[in-house]
Amino acid sequence: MPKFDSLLFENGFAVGSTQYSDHYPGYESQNHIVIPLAPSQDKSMSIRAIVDTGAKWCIIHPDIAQDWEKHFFHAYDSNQPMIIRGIKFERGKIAHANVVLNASSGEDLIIEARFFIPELSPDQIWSFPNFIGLDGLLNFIRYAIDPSENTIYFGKI
Amino acid sequence: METTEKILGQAVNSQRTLRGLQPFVELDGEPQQKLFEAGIASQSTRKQEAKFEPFETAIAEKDYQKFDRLIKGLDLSDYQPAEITALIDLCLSLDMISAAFDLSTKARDLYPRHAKIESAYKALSPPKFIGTRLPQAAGLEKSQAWFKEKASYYKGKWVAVNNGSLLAEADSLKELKNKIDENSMNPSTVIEKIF
Repeated sequence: MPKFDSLLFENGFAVGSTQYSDHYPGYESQNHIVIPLAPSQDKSMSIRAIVDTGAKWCIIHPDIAQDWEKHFFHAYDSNQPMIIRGIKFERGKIAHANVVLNASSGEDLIIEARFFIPELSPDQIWSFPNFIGLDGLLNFIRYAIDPSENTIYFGKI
Repeated sequence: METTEKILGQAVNSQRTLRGLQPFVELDGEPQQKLFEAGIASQSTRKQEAKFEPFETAIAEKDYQKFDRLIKGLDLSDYQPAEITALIDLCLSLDMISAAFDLSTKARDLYPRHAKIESAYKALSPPKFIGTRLPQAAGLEKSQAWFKEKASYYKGKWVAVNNGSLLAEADSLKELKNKIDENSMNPSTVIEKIF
């Protein structure tokens, strides 16, 4: 059991915790905090995403976004080009989805998160990790990191 | 944790500025047509250009605080819905999400039945807590370890990992899902494209 589970669960800061990975495949030269998450509906498989306080949106691989289509709601098509990870996307949409931060200890946390879903042009290939961004999710939960145990604690505000 | 820009090591602000100017200056040499397509053309495009000029200037000067102040102090009663959604899109292209949300909130009061404004308002509404539940995924630590140790052998592939074991690999997500047993379609299974 992670060292601070009792403390953080009992004082209401967190409802759950899970172990994170330091690395994302293909980006091993950089340290990240990679955690699992999934759509809240049953039979939905998990993905892994980087906890990124430098990212605005939650962004997932476009193929996964397509697979998650039934989970998205409140969609809005933006007519302005947007630059994500230094790459220009002529179009994209903003949408919400209920996602679960999977707990290994305590309880899962379900959040209505905000995603940016880029629309790739035929010559564009997606080669980025999945990200959990600040305005897309992180700013709306409590979380704490314990690097000594690679543990992330999360809870509701 | 601030990794977004580090990944590609590219500054994007200069491109962002130009992009922000596009709808009001020129798009592909056909400004009038594009303005019509964007739904913001009227009998007096010049008047509209004047309306948007302060925003263009703020972007050209890279003075995003000024842009934010202009947006927040804007009297929308002189703006048509299509003009407002163009401004919302412009805010989004500048990553000014809260400004875009503020605009959509004000616009919604002004044009309560306008579908695009309503969809912008809903999409830009902040994330919210839905609930908690007992954990439904098992073996995620083992699967995390699998990705750390084994993922590099599967570069370019989609993989599905459950409880630290590889369930399937494929060239596409669709193909991968076809290979996964119905019983394994649950949060304990982690799917990922390996780069």
